[in-house]
Formats: sequence, C-alpha cells, structure tokens
Amino acid sequence: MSSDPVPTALKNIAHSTDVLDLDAARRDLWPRATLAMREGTRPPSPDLVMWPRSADEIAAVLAWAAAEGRPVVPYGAGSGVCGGSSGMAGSVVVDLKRMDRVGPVDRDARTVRCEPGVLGQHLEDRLATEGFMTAHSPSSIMCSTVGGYVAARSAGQFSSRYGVFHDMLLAAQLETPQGRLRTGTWTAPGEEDLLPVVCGSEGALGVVSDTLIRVVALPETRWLRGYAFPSLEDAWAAMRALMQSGTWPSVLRLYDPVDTRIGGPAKKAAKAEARPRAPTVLDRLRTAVHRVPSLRHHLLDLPLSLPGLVNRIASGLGDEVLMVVGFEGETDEVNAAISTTAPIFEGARDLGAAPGEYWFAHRHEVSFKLAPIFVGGGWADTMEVAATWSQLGDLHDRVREAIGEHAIVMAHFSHAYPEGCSIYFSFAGSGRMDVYDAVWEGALAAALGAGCTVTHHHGVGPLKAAAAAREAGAAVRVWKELKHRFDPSGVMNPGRLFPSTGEPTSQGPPAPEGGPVFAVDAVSGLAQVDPHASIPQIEAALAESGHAFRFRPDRPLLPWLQTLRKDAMTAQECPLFALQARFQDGCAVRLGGAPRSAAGPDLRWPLLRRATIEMVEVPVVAIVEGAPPPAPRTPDTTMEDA
Amino acid sequence: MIALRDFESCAFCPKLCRHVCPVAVGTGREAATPTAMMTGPWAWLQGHGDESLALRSAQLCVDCGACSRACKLQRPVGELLRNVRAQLGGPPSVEALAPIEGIGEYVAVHSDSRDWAAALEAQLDRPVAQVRTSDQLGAAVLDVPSVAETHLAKVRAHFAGRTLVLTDRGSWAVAQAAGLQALHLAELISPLDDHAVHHPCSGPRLAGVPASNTLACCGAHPGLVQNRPDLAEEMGRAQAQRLGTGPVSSSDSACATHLRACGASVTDPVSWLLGA
Repeated sequence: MSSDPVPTALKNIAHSTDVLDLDAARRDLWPRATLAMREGTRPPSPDLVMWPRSADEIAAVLAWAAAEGRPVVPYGAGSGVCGGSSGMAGSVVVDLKRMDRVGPVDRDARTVRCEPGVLGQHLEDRLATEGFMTAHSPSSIMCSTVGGYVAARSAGQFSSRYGVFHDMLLAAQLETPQGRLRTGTWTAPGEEDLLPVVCGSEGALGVVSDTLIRVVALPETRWLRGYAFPSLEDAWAAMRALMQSGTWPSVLRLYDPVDTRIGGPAKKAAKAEARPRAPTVLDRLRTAVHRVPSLRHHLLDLPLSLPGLVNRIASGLGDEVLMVVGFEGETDEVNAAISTTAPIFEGARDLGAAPGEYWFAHRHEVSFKLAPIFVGGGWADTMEVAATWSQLGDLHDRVREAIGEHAIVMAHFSHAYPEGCSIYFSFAGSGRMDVYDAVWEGALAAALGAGCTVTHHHGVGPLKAAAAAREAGAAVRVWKELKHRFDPSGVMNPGRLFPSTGEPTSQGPPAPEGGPVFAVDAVSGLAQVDPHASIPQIEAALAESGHAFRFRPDRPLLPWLQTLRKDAMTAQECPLFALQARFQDGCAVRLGGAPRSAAGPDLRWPLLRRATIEMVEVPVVAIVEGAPPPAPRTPDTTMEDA
Repeated sequence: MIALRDFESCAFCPKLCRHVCPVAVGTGREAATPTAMMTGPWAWLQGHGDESLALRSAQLCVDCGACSRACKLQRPVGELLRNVRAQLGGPPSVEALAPIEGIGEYVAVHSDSRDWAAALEAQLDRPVAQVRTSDQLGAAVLDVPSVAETHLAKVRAHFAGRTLVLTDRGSWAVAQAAGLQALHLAELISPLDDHAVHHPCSGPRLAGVPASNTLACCGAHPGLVQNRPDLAEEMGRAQAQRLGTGPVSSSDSACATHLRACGASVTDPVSWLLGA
C-alpha cells in the first residue's frame, strides 16, 4: 500500500490506494484487455480510487486533480467493451458506485431522477415496485450503470419502441474541471443545450453526477412471436415496413443465416420443447468430451482455426432467417398493432410464440457464453454498426467479407428505426492478438467504406478512436472547442475519443447543388434539403417526389432545430438525421450517415450553431392521398403540453 | 487442492453476478465483485499475481452463495474462495467437543460466559440440555475441507438426535454444515416474535430474494468489520435502513454491536431471557 496522496481537504471522501482496488480498476471489459490479461500483460495502474457520494464531492476531486495535473478516469461498473473506462497510469479513478440513489417517480411528468452509480438492474427493480420501468435493457444490465449509459450512448434491447438511452434521457448534470454543466431540460434559459455532447463524451469532458430519465408504465400485455423469412432481403423489407408503420414493436430482432443456424432462438426453443429421445453416438461423444477438462478446453480449437471454412459451411446451409417480433403496452393497443401489421408477415412462416418467449427469458444470458471461449483459448467480440435501410445490405456484405477469413462471424439486426437499423456482428477467432487486431482493422475499414457509423451503442474507447475521428471528420474541431472550454488542462480521461491526429486535411465534400431538395432516399424515408429554403418551398419540392416532412416545423428549419427542446419529441422521434456543414475556412463535413450513432458525442447539434449548414437530412413520409398533412410542430412545446 | 482451471471462467467473465453480491453492492468496490475476488487467485495460479493478494481477494467473500445462484455456468465461487482461504490462510486449531450436560431434545450451546439453559427450560417448561464451546463448535475448520469433514462427523455423532439452540454465527454454520437440526434462541422466545431474527450470513437478501423481515444480515463479516470498518458500517446502515425501526434479535455479540452502531434497535435474546 502506497502513501495517501489525497490532500487533507478531501480525506473525508472515501478513497483507497490498496493494490486490490487499484488492480480492479486497471481495465474494463474490452475483450482485447481480457486477451492481454490471459497472456500475462497487465495494463498500467491508477494511483488512487475515490468514491464520492455527491456532486459536490466529485467537483472537489476534479478541482484538485486539475490543479495537480492528475488524469481522472470516471468509472461506473467498468462494463465498457471498447477500453474507454480503464484506469490509466498515475490516474485518479472516480468510482461512482456509491452514488446510487434513485428518486421517487414523478407520476405526472413520467420521469425519475437517478444518480450515476446505480446498476441498471437495480434501477429497474426499484422502478418496478412503483409500476414503472425505463425500458432500457442492455444485455449488460446486471453489470453496467446509468452513468455509463450516458457516457457511451447506450442502447437496450427494446429500443425500437422506447428509443436508445439518449432518447430516454431528458437531462444530465456534468461536473467538469471548469464547474457544473446542466443540460437537456435543466439547461438554463438562453444557454445552448449540450446534452447531445455530454451523451457519448466518455468521461472526457467531466463526470455525470445526476440524470433525469423518462419512465413508462410496466406493460399490461406482452406479445412475442417468431417468423421464418425465406431470405434476408425479404426480412429486411418486413422490418422496415414495421418500423415505418408507426406501431413501434418493442422487440424486433432479425438473425442472419449463420446466426439463425448457430445461435437463433428458434433452434433453442425447439430444443427446449423437443420430446426426450435416446442419446445418439454424437451426444455420448459430446458428453464424454465435456467431462474431461483437458479435452473440453480444446473443443473450439478446430473451428476457430478454420473460420473461413466454418463461415462458408454455415452460410451454405440455407437462406431462411429468423425474426423475433414483440409488441407490448396496453392490451387494446397491442391487439391493434398485431392486426395492423399482420400483412407484413404474409410471406413468412409463423413459428409461434416459442422463439420470442425463449429469447425474452434468456435475453441477458448471451454474455455468459464469452468466458468459455476465452477459457478454450479463443477470443470473441462484437461490433455494432448501423446504416440506413438502403445501405444495410452493403454494410452487412462488406463487414462479413472483411473478417470472414479470420473469424467465425454471424450477425443480427436489432435497434431498428424508421430510417435504418443497427447490425450486431458477433465474431470469434483463435487466441492470437495480431489476428484480433487485424479483424478489427478490417471490420472498421469496411464500415467506414460503406459510409456507415462505426459504432451504434458500445461507445468509442481506444478501440474505435481513430475510426470515430475519421467518421467525424472536420467536426472534431467542435469537440476540441468544447473540450478546451470544460477541461482546459486535459485531465479528463486523457487521449479518449478523438486522437489529436484525427482531423482530416481535405476540404471535405463540395456544396450540394439543385435544392431545395437535393436527394430523397425513399427506402429509408429521408430527404436531403436546403435548410435556408422556406418550409413551403421545401414542402412543395418534397411533394413532387410524393413525400412530406415526418415532423413539420412551424418555422424555418434551422431556427426550429436550434431551439428544439429535448422533451418536444417522444423517445421514438429523431428530427435531425444528417447534415453538411462548412466552417469559415472553407472546410466542410457531412455528419450522421446512420441512425442513433454512438461514435462519441453527437456533434450534429453543436454544429448547427458553429458553421454554415449547407444541407440537412430529415425524415420524410410518403404522402397518402386524402390523408391530412402532419400538424406543424413547435420547437418548445413539450409532449406533455401538447 | 486449488487449480487454475477452476478460476478461469470467472476471471474471464464480464462480472455478470456483481448485482447480487452483498459485498460488491454494499461497498461499491470493484475489487469486491466476485469476478475480481476470483481473478486474484487466478492471477496467482497463473504465475502473474501475488499470493497475499490472492488470499486478500478471497477474504472479501462472505460465502453467501448469491453469485453461484445467479451464474448460468453455476460456478461454485464461494467454495473455491473458501479453498483459497484454507490453502493460503494456514490451518486452524480446534478444541475437543465438551460433553453434553443434562437431558432433553434441545441443547443450549453456550458460546460465551453466560449460562441460559435453565432460563430457557423455565421459559419453555421442558428440559433443556447444555454444552459449552469457546470456539463456536470449531467453526474455523469449515474453511479447511481436508479436516472439516472429520470434525463435522464428530459433531454429527456428538449431537445425534438433538436440536441445537444457538446464539452465534460460527456454531450456526457448523450445525448447518453437519446437517443438524438447529434454531436461533430468539425463535424459541415467543415475546420476541415481532423481532427480525439476526441470522448471520443470510446474504440472499441482496440476491434477488424478496426482502424478509424475519432474517437480517448485513453481509459485513467480521473480517470486513475489522479490516474495512468504513465499508462495514455502510453495509450495516443500509441493512438497518431496510429494516426500518423494527426491533432485531441478535445474540451474536459482534454483529449486535455492529448493527447497533449502524442505528438498528437490537435486543440480545440471552440478556432478555436472563432478565425475564
């Protein structure tokens, strides 16, 4: 145990220099760190772990650390899988798990205040006692905290109905070395709302000290179903139709052909329901192997050493794919949704409730499969990327092609939106670090090459820092401005998010021509428009292609977006998809090629005030003859007021 | 006795049982997650870690079993960490079992200087035998599987056909391990029926098991009270808060002192019995 470096004024804040505590904060759950640990490599150690109990105590720690030039690493439950929450050499780890108070539910506003250190499962348990839930259900719910959800722009398994965590988060308070920052609905009148930047900032601006979260009533009815579609393309079309139908399924998961065969819930459900049969020779062999640890540990050696062959065999077993669908809420609403969407499933084989119910019952168990792979000498990891519906197939093909010779790869499609969807690739390879690094390099390059986001909800960390910087392009300079404003001495999680070499040297894309509507992606329900044109001008041009605004502004587009209150939209609504901005020096950036990207802070919103906006991509809907146009939306009327 | 492969699954696990571990939840320490407790011995067995750190990691476990119940791989974390403590912590000494005095199905186990068998006999109006122990029926051997079974066999034979009436956590653990019938003293005293019974190491209260007002344990085992009083106090206060202002019966003097210091209203059933 080393001497206590904490100054007298802070000694009343719980802290430790015990090697046990320092060791435990050396790493998060980045599989590369687990691989390194298995090989005997120890990451650098922090100097100190502190457990503040209040926002004021966090502020005091940050003020001291900034004055001393000590790096600060905010730490929740350390469940990050990109390396973003690892105690670095000489750092002060600010562990937030003793800030775990949950306030009473505001039943009128449907909100709850929550400290950053509460574990997700404990929050849901607490809310359930009052008949509510956040409905944020990441598979890491047992081992992740609310602060981490903010820091990494988390998404849960029911996001297609309830949104990702950023959609649920109405306000957050951040302690920074330069003082307190209140965002979202807590933003002071006249101040810029920086919630989109706080969300996804991965501890590099400050430490989340308080949150205000939307809650919803526990569902009266939950309906789950499995469908087999003849091909991935058919299933994508059904998924898109569902998300554009306005029925908001709570569960929508599609497994690609490999995942359907290897990990699909239908197979599991069928097994669970299968009648007992006499064990086959293969069963007996499998049982015998599992009884001998030395053999069991080598079970994966062969498939992991021949990933290309395994991928080809699995792909060749058939095109049929499994989709799990669920609706929940009030019974009448659920029944209506089932009835409305029935035609979407006409081309599919109805597998009944079993696959959906099996998935639901086991929805948090996937991570238990990780350890045995590492024990067996391999490694496993996941990559969650996202794209518009029109780009989804290309993204899937490119990533599979890029890594399919080095790792066994499968994917499922979840976190669906009217405009697009996330792809969750799971891959496993042999135990070598160079293979692991090569696989990731190829996968990220493929995602960037497809024009998509490199991360949907796992955050950035050192794993995706360079790729996220490439995705953000010249917008990184907005991040640098905010970083300098709130953390001028650079002590907050140093080196995270955008590396200093990340800013591009090119001038970026040329100005778009031919407005007021530059392009319409009818498949994804998106239109690129000139934000300087009047709303009637844009509407007229959209009407020529048979489209209208999904969210119709009541004033010119830019002022509407710039003053849009966080609670003026439901958790399902995202009025700004992408934009193209040009800085004073002529450098331009196009940002937002995918729905709900978690590639660091959302820089689209601060860009609105810091650069000339040349193009905005907004959600549109096909005009239905005879239907009234959507009512104009004001930017400052909350959903409750409306 | 302990092997590297036993610790691998936990060392590589993404901490999927941390939410049910009373020590991890009660202290907020990353080092106190079952995963971290298992990683210490794993690193030592792997040749990358320190023996003393492995032992200290294992000593954080209160052996409540909550993690194993939450684990889909059913890893016996408590047992494995007990083995680490046994191997690295040195063998305990055990006293010979004292003879049972008197007749009766119930045997009062006197684990401190107070004799309360006669008072209980008067309270119940039935004969109560007694036995004296100064090492809580040799509870320390439970951490050492190589000698525990021999000792438990002796305990089983010694108390065959009897029901032990207990007041301390160690004797309770021995009775459970030996498969003997056992009751807490407070459970036999009807005027204390409205009290929550302090049942040492009823850790499941944080393990997803609905809160019970009949069992109360904060999970702060004596080692934690001694080594990290600040953290132990937090756990005790949290438990006192959960119990509200209701009374608690606890005759484990260390636990009673701890719970009182944390704000709980604690009655010692032995004192109550002797004063009645």
